[in-house]
Amino acid sequence: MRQFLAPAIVDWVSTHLLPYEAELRMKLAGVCKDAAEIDDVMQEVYCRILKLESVEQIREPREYVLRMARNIVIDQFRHNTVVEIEAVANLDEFNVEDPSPSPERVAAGRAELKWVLGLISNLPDRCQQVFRARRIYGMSQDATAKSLGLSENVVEKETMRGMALISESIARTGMQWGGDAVKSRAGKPTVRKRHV
Amino acid sequence: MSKTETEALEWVVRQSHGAMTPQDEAAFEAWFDAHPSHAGAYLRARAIERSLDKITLEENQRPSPAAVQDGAHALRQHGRRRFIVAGAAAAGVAAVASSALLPRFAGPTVLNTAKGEFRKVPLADNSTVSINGASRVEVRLTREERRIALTRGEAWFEVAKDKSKPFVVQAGGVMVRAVGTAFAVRRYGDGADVVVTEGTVEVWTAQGTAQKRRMTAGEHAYVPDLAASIAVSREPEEIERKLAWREGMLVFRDQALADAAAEFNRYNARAIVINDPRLRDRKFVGQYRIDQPERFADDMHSLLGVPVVVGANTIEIGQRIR
Repeated sequence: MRQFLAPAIVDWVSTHLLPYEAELRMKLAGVCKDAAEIDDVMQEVYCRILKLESVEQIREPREYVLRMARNIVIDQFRHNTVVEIEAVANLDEFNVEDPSPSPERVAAGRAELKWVLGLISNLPDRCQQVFRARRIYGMSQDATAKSLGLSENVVEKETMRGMALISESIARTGMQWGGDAVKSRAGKPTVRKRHV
Repeated sequence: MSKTETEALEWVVRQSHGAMTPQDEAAFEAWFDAHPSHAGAYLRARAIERSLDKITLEENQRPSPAAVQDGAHALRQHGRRRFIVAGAAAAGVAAVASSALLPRFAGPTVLNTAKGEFRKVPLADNSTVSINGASRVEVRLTREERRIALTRGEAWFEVAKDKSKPFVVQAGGVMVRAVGTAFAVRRYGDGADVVVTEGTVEVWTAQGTAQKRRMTAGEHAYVPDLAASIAVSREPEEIERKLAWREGMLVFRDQALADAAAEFNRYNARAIVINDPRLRDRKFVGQYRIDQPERFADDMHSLLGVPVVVGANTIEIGQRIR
């Protein structure tokens, strides 16, 4: 059977990219001209990671991702006829001059766990109950339906709904490289256009 | 949310919670290859699934079903929680023990399936286990080894290479060690069936006198707990047939009717009963979706010219002998 994604890469993205997507998008808001361009850059980041042979050799994930995003943005600049002066200045946000020592694995793991639990705690009521039963308590779909007094059809619907909501919230709420939680600025960058 | 993002999430949900038919697999492959943005969105969706998998509590930390209901009731009482930035724990989850936060060195994780249910679960070491219905798998990943106990049912393992940590599956008295590979084990009362789809495994028994035996892709063996020797057959077609459940199918090639009925009954609450003993050994060829025993019964009606009665709890094949 064809392997579509290497499990090691999925795991790497889960640990080193997803929790920081919100922060990355916040930095991109300073250099991209609109929300669509931020989405394009993010999409390109995922596409490039997908093509990696392996992730074992990446010693500093944060630096790696920032450098990758910076390169994509610079490529984007070459295509744009107008580039804001402030955008070029904001490229500095993607430099990692002083790579902070990676937090102790235990602490990083704990922070990541809290982040995922937070994503679940923000789901609407019935959806949240289903996710807690299925994901935290590891109950089967059948047992979840019985335990919550729902039909399996409803459990399936709430599962899909929850996944969509979680996917959206990952773009908005995440961890900050360095540990504390951050909430990204919604939507558009505040930089005004100016001809260069 | 973009259409691609939605599609990617739908595929992930479908793949994790239900068996994919060959048609589904083909549709997925076509979608994945259609555009690079699909593949990227799929990677992100898979990573989300992986993040959610990491928070499942170990079995001994889970409260009883009654407690889960109390939690649900409490939630209904107090209404929606206000938006809270990551870091706040939901009610009832504050008790998550620290060991649940170290997926690399987690204690036993128990994965259960109900009859007819299918689960595909990634493990913390990047291996994947596809669990068939009515099965139970215990996963213990330590610094030195990766140990899996198949206490009931059947599972197919795709093992991530890790020379420093052997991946060993124990099913009753039968042990299977993987050397970077994919293989399935089905537990029976007095032994286990081992099927290798990729790479090489080593098989031995805890209490039998049989020597350790190597098996490679395309081979299968039924290993009794007290085996004096391990007989291995090389039949790649038979391997695919035995593991068709991974795609939600049952494939019969020269199987006896009674065995086919038993296979369906593994998965479905509505049991196939063969009334006429003379029909039990009749052989046939066919492939069916696991959740469609009625189709199978229909075909038997046509093939054998016997009456078939589809009831609420049973599907009876053949006339009752008085």
